[in-house]
Amino acid sequence: MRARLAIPALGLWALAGCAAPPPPPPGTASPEEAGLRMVADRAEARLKSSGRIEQRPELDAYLRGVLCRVVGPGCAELRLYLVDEPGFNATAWPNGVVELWSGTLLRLENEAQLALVLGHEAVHYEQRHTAQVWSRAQQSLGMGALLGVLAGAPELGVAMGALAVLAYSREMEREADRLALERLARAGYDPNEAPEVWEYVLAERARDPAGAPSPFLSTHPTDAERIASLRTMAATLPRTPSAEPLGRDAYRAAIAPARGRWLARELARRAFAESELVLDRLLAAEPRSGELLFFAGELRRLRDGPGDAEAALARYREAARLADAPVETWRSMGFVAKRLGREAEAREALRTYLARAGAAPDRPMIERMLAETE
Amino acid sequence: MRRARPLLIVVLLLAACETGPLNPVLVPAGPVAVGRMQLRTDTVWTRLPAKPPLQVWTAYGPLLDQLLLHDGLADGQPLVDTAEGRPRPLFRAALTGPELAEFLLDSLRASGAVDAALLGVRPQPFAGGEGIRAEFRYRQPESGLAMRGVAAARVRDGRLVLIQLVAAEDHYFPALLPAFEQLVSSAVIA
Repeated sequence: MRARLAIPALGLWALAGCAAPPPPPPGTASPEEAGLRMVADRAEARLKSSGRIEQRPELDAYLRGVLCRVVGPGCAELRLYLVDEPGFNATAWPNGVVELWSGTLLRLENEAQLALVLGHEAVHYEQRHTAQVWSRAQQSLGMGALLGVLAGAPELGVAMGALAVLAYSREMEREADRLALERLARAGYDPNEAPEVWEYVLAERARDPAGAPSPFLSTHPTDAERIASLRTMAATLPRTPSAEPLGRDAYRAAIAPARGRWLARELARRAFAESELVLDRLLAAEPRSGELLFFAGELRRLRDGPGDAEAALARYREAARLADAPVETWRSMGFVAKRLGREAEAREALRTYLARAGAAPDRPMIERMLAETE
Repeated sequence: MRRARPLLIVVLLLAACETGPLNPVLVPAGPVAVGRMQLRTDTVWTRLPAKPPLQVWTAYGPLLDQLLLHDGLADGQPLVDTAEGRPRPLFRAALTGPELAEFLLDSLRASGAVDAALLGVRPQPFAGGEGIRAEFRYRQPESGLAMRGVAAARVRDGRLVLIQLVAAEDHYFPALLPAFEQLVSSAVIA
């Protein structure tokens, strides 16, 4: 029934010449929507003064450029915030905020996939999907009073989180898929990258089906049928010719300065099954990256399951042969070798670490460890 | 948009289903026992509801400072929990000193700390044996407030013994550091 309802909506959109309907002019929003925007405005002010926003002007400029390329002039209404959080999540707020988690950028492979995610969220804003979800919840669940509670919540980030657990309907997702895919192709990106994003989200979920679902998956219902539909749509779309339909190199260059810190944060979650998929994909694209091999070793050292110490050591050794291996490679190699009883290798690795690390914060501890074994 | 909540909220949530004080209680100056750990404090603290055997004290309020005390975290157990039951760092008795500091830092991150970094870790006698002293900095996720942390820890009989202070970097951390040092120097495990 829901699928049938979606068809006329898409037809009307097509007749409108592919232009997304603009948000209502000021003063025409319903009282519920106006209240929702007020809560979102307050949450945005709180987000801006929090410690959660990444402070990376060059990366911000790159992300904004991709957003505007895929959205077009409508991007002037959107405010994009890169939030320092691991995991896959992107959210459109009802006041024009697009919140993108840094963990998302570890999980996308190229600029076309980034453009798809940003374009998809822009459609949710432009089509007022968040406001519709909220209104529907108010009507069906009697949640009218909750808005007042949220407006006065001391932690408005929590308030926005409460809104975000209300998932978009499948009709809304289809609409966002269709419009975002059209824009992707029009902007010169390869629309075949769109189903890849959703396939990844499902694959990460499949790695840990008993764990808490990804926030993105919770709010963006996805299944194999949706992915098949995206593939069909992508194959038939007219595309703007482009020399760089994927934008892989530009994407990697943009995230490179922050990637190591995000990976450390990713592993701090201890969601090893998900993180292993992240690292496997990154390593498949860059098998000779000392940084990635180091973090692949770190995952196994921290997980400490059967065979993990040996597997970690193998990755540290491989990383150590590459020019971009972080200096911590030798420290972790020493810890794992010591765990395996390979004292001579542990000492050699820790000595190398001290020689390369300069004024490392853990130098006194490493010196003590060496003194105890010599 | 779900994410790990600050330690305070986690601790308060856990308190609802665990034994321990249901309301804040005063910790007067003088000798005090935290499980098997005997301490002496010259500062008056307030003990907050928390999941035993972990104790959480504060001097100026939990948003400005928190003191974590544990007399023996077992192998395979987390120092902090997350409200959503998501994975979190687990203590391992075989951790080296630097890895112990890494565990404490990652536990802060799992509690929502932003931009957390290790400032230093060095050997330090603690509670009758060889331990470590680790120092951190991070920012609170909601307020962006710059925080500092210092921990004294050691592994005794395969269990983690810990005293850790986190406080706002401006004023509160330097103001409470002497009280932390005094607690650490007085710690004895029965």
